[in-house]
Amino acid sequence: MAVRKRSLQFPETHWSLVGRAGASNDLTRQQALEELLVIYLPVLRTFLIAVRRIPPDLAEDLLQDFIADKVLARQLVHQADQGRGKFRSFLLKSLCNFTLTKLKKEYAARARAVCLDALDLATDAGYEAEDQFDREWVKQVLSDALDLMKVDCQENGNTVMWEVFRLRVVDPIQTDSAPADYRQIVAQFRLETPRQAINLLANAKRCFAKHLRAAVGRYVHDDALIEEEIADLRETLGRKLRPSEFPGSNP
Amino acid sequence: MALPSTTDHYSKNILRALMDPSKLDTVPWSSDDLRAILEHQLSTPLSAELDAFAETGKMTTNEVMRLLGDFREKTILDAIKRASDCVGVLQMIKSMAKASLTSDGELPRDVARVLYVLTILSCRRAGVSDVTTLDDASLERETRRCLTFGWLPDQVLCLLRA
Repeated sequence: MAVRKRSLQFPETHWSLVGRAGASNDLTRQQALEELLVIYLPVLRTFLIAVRRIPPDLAEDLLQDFIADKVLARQLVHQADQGRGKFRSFLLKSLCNFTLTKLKKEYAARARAVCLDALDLATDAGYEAEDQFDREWVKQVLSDALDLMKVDCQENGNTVMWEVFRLRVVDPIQTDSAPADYRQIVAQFRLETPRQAINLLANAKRCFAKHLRAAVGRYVHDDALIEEEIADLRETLGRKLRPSEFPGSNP
Repeated sequence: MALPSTTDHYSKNILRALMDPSKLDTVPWSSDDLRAILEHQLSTPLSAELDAFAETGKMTTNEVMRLLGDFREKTILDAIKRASDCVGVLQMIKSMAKASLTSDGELPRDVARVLYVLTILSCRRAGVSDVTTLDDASLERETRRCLTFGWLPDQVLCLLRA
């Protein structure tokens, strides 16, 4: 199945799409499945490689097998039940179970060759895996919102606003550095009054909020659900966030 | 690589604040920043705040210009130190500070509070008592509250204690 490239790549809880992917009409089902895969594949791949430390070539094979054997052949999406939680949790659990089985059996030799112990993966499955997956997801959403904001600021002549935001917010979270202090900002951008500096930051914050909504709105199409999703992102952020896990930070 | 705890704290909090729609106008500042903002505000030429004075004093910029008179190129600190020569100017500064004590303002609230108290104290010392409706006890309480801010510059501490 051809999977189109898309700039935003993170999972969603988009049950109307899941519903269509489980439809009886072949064309409808195929289109919806393609959309789902475009959204989820990058994060599932990142999860296997960055979180589970599975070598990229093995992760790619596992992922392709998962799509072929579970998603397509066994119509995994058809088994998803909205009443039992988020679709991404369901998908992740299925992937984890599938991966463990494959690494114990068909790919056991390859796993041994790269010192990958399926038992180790099994022990931190469940909540821990979902938590790590959630954090990967937050990273991608934030990263996407920041990209959108940067482009918007550059295209609309708001480079000073972006630069102030970068110095105060983006750089500290991406490079483990301290935020630029007020004096530095005033000197660098020759700001005459405190109101100018404060307004720049307040406007930048509103701009980020707008783009965060836009980023989430690409995969959640209902205003009320967007707010719910952002609240969920905040909750994940508050739960656990290591500096090295911020968007764009060096591994 | 581990972050210093302050930066980690800052990063987490600022990201969470950024994602909180109820705090869209809140910008977190450190104590050093608050001191720098107050110092910057005190050293700002009055002429640079024409729009702010007009907006918060509900005047035209021409009216503000007339009130500023010869003080136009002086700073806010100059005005506070020479209250007897410019009570009208101090009232404009007070209005600007007061606006930031409500949700309409732009200065950090504690910076605005210090500026607000400084202007009233300065007017009182110049013999002008009708600049505020605050009674003596309330003004004293506000002054004591300002003195608890650990980030106040020395010159401001002196003015508050004078």
